[in-house]
Amino acid sequence: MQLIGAPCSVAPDVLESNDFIRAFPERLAYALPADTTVLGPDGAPTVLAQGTLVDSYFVHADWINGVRTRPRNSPAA
Amino acid sequence: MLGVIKDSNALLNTNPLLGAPSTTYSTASDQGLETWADDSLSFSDARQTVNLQLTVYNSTDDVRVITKASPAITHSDSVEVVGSPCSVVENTFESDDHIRLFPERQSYALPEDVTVRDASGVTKVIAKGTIVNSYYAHADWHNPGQNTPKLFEGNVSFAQPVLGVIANTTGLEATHAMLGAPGTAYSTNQYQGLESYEDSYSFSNNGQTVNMKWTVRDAVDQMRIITLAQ
Repeated sequence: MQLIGAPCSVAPDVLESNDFIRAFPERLAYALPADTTVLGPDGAPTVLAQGTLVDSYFVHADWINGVRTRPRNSPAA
Repeated sequence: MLGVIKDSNALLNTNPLLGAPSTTYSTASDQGLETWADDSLSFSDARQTVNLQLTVYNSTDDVRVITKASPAITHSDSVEVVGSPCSVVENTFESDDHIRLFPERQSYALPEDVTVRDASGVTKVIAKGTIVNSYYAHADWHNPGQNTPKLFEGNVSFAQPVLGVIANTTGLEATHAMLGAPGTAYSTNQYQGLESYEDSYSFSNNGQTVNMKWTVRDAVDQMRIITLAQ
């Protein structure tokens, strides 16, 4: 896992790595502008109420894929 | 940890809401995790760790992780705190409503002495080796015409003492390489810093709050804030 700044793009085939999952902060100390449903740590959907102060992070995996359907496994991160 | 968003539709729906303002996100319908591809996600360490095992095909595997906000920073509504963007060059990271603030280096041992202005406005030197956090405040807007002014006003408070700020272009340019975020392109514009005739800043709250009142024209206004690390 590599912690980076927010990249210009996480569209497919832009920010690629054959070795790392990338994570970056998106918004910090952010008051949710709307109710937001997440999967809670207990495995159940949870609604975070509008106005909740959160930090948001994005985790991204993409690799330099030479063959369209060939998979690549990440190590547990 | 409050939770994660790992399904493609939910990611697509929350990219505009929670995404980094300067990042282009995928519009693919398979950006999330796929159970059929043996992608797995679990929590451990009292819900503070997310464990991932991903099998990535030709698209991406993405997850959004939402935590309670860290108490390290609080701010006025006119300030947005974001991840370090890919660029703060003029006309690349614009907002008509917000000063953007982002962390650059955290728990960073200064590789050399750094000169700042402290809460009393006095120039002081932070010694090489001091462990600091560095933040960058940035204002740029969709300016319709050359030299049209727009006022930005806001404040940001830190849990750690503010050691000082760097607000002039010379000081900013001299410290971009040392204190800047590694993936961020910085301006080389001679007007990137604050101009004393129309931009101001002050400290309050025992030196832990920085108040900004900036008039932004066709260039950007920017300031580096240095705090003690935890």
